[in-house]
Amino acid sequence: MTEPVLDVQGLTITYTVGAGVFQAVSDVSMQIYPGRVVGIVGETGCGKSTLGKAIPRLLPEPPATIGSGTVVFRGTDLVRLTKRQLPMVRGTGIGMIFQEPLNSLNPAFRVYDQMAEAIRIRHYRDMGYVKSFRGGSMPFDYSVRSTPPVTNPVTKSIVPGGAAAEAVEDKLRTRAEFREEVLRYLRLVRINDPEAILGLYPHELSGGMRQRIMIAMALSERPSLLIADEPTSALDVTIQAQVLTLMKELIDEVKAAILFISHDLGVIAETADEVGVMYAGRIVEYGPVADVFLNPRHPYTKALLRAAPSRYKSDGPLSSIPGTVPNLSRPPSGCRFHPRCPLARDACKASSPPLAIVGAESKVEIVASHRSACFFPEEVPNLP
Amino acid sequence: MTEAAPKRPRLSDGSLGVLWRVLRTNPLSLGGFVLVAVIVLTALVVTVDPRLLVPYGAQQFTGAIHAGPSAHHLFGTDGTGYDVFSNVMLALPLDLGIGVAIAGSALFIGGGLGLIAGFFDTPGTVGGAISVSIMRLTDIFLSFPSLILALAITRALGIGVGPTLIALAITWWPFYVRLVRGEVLAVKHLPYVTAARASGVSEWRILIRHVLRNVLEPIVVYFTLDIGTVLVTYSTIGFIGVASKYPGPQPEWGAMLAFYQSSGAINVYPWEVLGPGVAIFVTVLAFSLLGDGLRDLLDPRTRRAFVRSSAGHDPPAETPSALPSGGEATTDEVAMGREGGAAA
Amino acid sequence: MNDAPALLEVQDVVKYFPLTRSLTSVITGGSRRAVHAVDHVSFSLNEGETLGLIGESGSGKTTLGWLVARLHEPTGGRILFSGHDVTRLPRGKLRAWRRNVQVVFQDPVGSLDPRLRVWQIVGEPMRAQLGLSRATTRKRVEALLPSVGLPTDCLDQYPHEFSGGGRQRLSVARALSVDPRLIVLDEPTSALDVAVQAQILNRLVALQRERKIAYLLITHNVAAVRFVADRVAVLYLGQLVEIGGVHEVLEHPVHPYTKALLAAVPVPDPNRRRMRYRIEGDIPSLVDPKPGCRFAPRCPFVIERCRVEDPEFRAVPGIPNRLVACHRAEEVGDIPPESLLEVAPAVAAPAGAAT
Repeated sequence: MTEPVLDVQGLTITYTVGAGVFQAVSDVSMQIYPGRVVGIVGETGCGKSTLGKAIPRLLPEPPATIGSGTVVFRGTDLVRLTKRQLPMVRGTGIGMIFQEPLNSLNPAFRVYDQMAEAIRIRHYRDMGYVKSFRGGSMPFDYSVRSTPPVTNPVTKSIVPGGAAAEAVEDKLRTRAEFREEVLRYLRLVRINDPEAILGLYPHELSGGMRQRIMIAMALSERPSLLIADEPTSALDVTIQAQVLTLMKELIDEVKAAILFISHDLGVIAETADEVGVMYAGRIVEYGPVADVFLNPRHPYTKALLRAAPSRYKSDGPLSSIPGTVPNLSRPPSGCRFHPRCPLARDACKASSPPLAIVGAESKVEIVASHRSACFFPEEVPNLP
Repeated sequence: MTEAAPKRPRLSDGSLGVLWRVLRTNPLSLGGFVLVAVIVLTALVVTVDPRLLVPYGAQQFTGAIHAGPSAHHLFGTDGTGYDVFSNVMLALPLDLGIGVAIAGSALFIGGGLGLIAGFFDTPGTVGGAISVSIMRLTDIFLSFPSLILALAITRALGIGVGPTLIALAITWWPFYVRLVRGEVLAVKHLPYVTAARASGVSEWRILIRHVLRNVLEPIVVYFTLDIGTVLVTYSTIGFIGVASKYPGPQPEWGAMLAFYQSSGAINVYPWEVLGPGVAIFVTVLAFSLLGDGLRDLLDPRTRRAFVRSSAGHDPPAETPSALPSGGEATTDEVAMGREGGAAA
Repeated sequence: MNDAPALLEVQDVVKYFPLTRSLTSVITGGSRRAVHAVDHVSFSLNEGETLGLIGESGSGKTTLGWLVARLHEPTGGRILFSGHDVTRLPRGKLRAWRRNVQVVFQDPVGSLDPRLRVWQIVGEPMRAQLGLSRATTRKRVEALLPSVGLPTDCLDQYPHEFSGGGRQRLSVARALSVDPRLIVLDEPTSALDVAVQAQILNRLVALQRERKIAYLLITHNVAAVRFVADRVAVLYLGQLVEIGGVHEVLEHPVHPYTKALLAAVPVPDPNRRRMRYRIEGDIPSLVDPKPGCRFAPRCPFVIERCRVEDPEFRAVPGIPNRLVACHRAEEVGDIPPESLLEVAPAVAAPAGAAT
């Protein structure tokens, strides 16, 4: 009935560097439905960024190779696209927000020019001037959900009841209309005085402002899938909280599916509907965020949650996870977490546990069931 | 996974071995090393006893004029009846010496000034004032076209090898000031320099141990490439006819080319030009390849990477651009095993 | 107060970084503009104690740490170490004094010279301060490595062969090598993963217990401060806004900025999903800041007085061992940080959203 925006099945990505080969992503599967936010969380080197870049085929190939699996985005398998078809995918349905907004914006162009370029590309696509991979325009329902205008609790300003509530409009003929479209998206990301920053260069803006502009640019292409790779990690805590608040509001307004990648469990807990915990290239636990965070069923998730910093924690030594992330050119046999796992037994060394449903199966189509790649999920709650 | 950390190849076991392993993985650099070695060796032999390699004297009439290349005359003979190959070989020590001497003097003068100008550049101090003076002087020299300046100085000092050398030495160093100063400025603000200062290491020691050592690699590479450039420039001056004279007792490649060109031989007997031309080309190429090879060899990071991949070990731990997130999954296995247990 | 002087006393320290003047400003006689990185900061630190210094980027916390380690020249004020003024030390004495204060830097990649081997890096302060020979240095470094959790057989490795955590252990070992009395920890874990952070922090605490070193822990990580520090100082735009015992400040913050900072930290608790952060606006520029409280433009409790009059850094009645720079400290003191988060207006949740 409801079709997922993105359907990843058995995706495996390897890197070849010198004589070494290692699997950065192994057999990852997930679905993202419209309007849903899927978080991917894990430590450095777990493959989460590789995954995020592989979906829009932004990985440099080589050294990366997509070994197997499918990435079906709105009916098209992106893995099978040729190099020449790739430009049609990018900027036509998948938006990206990266960690470091200073590097992601071109320092030589003013805010207006960067925004206008993104809108122009989308406009040409909508008008059918450029080919998109489905041929012609992308009549796609980025349309904001049909809720009445909401009041932004912070600015007390009225947020248009869905920035793009009007149907895909083709009225960007004059300069003034273009400018108005740019301003509309800057207002969408709660920039109070958008006219004032149109003429500024990226280096003249603060980090938080730059990230807002990145978000505005990504949204202005009206993506049906937004991939946010550590979008707030380079920001200060109070600025991060502001940008997260913005993103949460936009998640409610915008119907795009969002893949939210972060190393910060707190950020994921605040934004995502579902979460996948990655370890050494595999998803080890997946499910609704409340289930995974409040009732983890994989020892790694449990350990990660315990190690997460919190100002509410009591005293005593901080908990860490013994050992280190394995070298992916020689991953451990069986379950990749077994060398560091308190529950490890012979079975864990022998074979790799499947991502199996724990607890009740989800009755709602777009909500994933809680799954864990552990042979002994029922023992996890008893861990310290 | 932590128990049997693989024994890493140690760099300390024989730097010659490392040299060989690095070179083996990069045949072009190997070619550069071999070529430079052959060239230098040949130059030495020619200097010590020319008769071993050179069949004729510089101004020995061979009895054949404009003879084509043959077993007797590898590059043929020219219009004066001299053997081209012999003259090319006899010119080798001079040309090579000029290249090394000019680039070397520039490296020492310019490099030293650049090091001082870059490291002691705090405004308002004595060092800062010296630094500014050095840079202004450098700018003055750089604002002249160096070839024209060298030609002018040569003319003022009189024609010959000596004046040309002096002229080149005077014009060559400013490039190095710029280069070294730039590198020093980049390195001296790196955290490890501050870390050394915080440890109480003296400024001079920081300059030598941390700064000089880390700017050395690009500069040595530039130096080797520069030997070729000096050669070409000297040959150009020779070609214009203000440096060496050909035919004469001491041949020189640029002067030879000039002679063949001006005498019109170039149109009829092209092989004559080929001799000195190939000599310049091969020498410059050899030093360029050597420069690239040195770049790989001097950096412990690439050095290690080469050693590893050739020895069939891990891929290099961090290949920045290639591994967006896999980069950190590295080699600390020994380190963490012990601690992790204690901490948990 | 006992008679023995504190290990470290920072008195009214100021650090301005002058901006380069443009030609027009020189001609028109415009005043010289400066970045006020640290603006009249005072605090003290006792032997064996840890002071956490928290603040965001641009708060001047790193500059302050560098001033304490005498890597910057202060524009004004004094720094006393064991009662002796070290702000005017001549060069030679300064070098010798550095033995007392060592620094662990934030960047685990950049702070280790890529061309030196482990024993040379860790042994550098020993060789510079004690003039040890190569052989002795190697021996001492070998003995030191286990205390930071590194194996002794890595003496001849290069820093790039270690992971981030391993490199940071090398930095700690280097700082320890000359038995300093104070270590300035400049964001020691912010470049590391959480599990690794915990390992390093645990190690630092253990080392402090063994060796009675004082730490100045500079960080933006509230949890790290809570675990490692005895007292905490909060810095905003170059000025201290609050200082006090770590548990008291974190559980009962008085200054609005401290509250804003604590409320901003994301917590891995899905029940907080609907919370919205109420603080607005960007961190203002440090170039010639306007008078008045620096947090006033973003403060939810701002009154007119805050915008014109600099708040005094003062004790608040009823709250012992606490200094706060806020005009309204008495009124806003009891407001919990969570009040800066508000529950989002009910937006129709997507069908079947996780609850």
